[in-house]
Amino acid sequence: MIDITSLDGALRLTEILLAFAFMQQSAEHFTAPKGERTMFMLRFILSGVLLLGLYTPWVCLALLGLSIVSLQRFNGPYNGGSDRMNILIISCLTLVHFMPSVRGQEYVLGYLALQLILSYFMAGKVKVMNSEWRSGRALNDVFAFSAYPVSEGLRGFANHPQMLRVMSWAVIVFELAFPFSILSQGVLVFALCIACLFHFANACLFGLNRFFWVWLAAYPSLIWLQARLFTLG
Amino acid sequence: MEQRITNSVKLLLPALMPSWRFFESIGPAPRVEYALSANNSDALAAWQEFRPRPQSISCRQMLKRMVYNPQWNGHLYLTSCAERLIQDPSDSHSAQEISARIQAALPKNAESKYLRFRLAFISREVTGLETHILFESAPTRIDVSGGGDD
Repeated sequence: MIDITSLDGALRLTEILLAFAFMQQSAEHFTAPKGERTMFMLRFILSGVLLLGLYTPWVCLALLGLSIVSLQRFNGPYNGGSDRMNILIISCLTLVHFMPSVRGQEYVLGYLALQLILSYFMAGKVKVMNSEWRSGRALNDVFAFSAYPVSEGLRGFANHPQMLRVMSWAVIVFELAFPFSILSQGVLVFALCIACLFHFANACLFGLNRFFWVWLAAYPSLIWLQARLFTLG
Repeated sequence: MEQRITNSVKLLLPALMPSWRFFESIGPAPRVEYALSANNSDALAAWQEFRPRPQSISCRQMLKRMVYNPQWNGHLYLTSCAERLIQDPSDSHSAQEISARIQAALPKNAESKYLRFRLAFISREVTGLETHILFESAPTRIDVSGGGDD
């Protein structure tokens, strides 16, 4: 059983969840043209080795190298924010394994946790500062004409402006309040469950399935940081 | 080599220090459209949207897409390429990617020899939703080998 509140436990769980997220993403490229397919098959195999916990520092380094190759191949991220979270997590994991001291490892995992908090808080901050988000117009536009809704039927949500205004504010309040959840382990676990539901809804409505799995991989770092700062002393 | 390293660092930095400004504003949204023709001087056939979204998706399909969603993620990638191409019309990488992915999706026995694509951007204006064509490619000969390699 993995103790997620210990540094080693949080790291191991991050590796397992990231390996799964990488395997899920890589499998989606198995029908791509040969060069792209080869790169992602290699990534799938390396992720399998990471999942088993073998040669972890070197596997992390190789996966980080492949992430850079992928950035060059697609001239940027293939899947926007989810690719950025991929690279952030694998960079932190690689750095942790080559850190000479436990204190250094804690700083790196703490940085990942901090970025996870910022991923919600900054998204809420830019929305609350935008009058179109506050009025619900922005979410209305997302459904009405953006590239995201996965079916034409979902565009019908644009005909319910009142509901979209409430949904916009629910998202804004949750994202802005997220940093405060770190003050209590119970509240943090509850907030992470809500965040999971949020990503699940985004995956169903907008097809952002990769965000769901890779954000999940960053959660152990925050649960560890919360325990490190407020529970264990 | 030095340029390659500089380029990698430029691409890597936004991931190591992300801004996390998701959906900050909802700008014009691209649609990729394409047309086929028998030769590069032919009047082109009708434009059609590349991989239009379905009218509806069942809950079962949504759940399946949680773990395997290659076509949709490819669509999101093409959306990124379209936005990059509009920001920088000399971005040959994005133009090649869009063209190659449309070609790869065409039936192998298609009689048409030339492909042209264009980018239609939909935005909300004072009068309602409007569509503007912001990019149109030159005709390119379809690779009959199927474009197996990158």
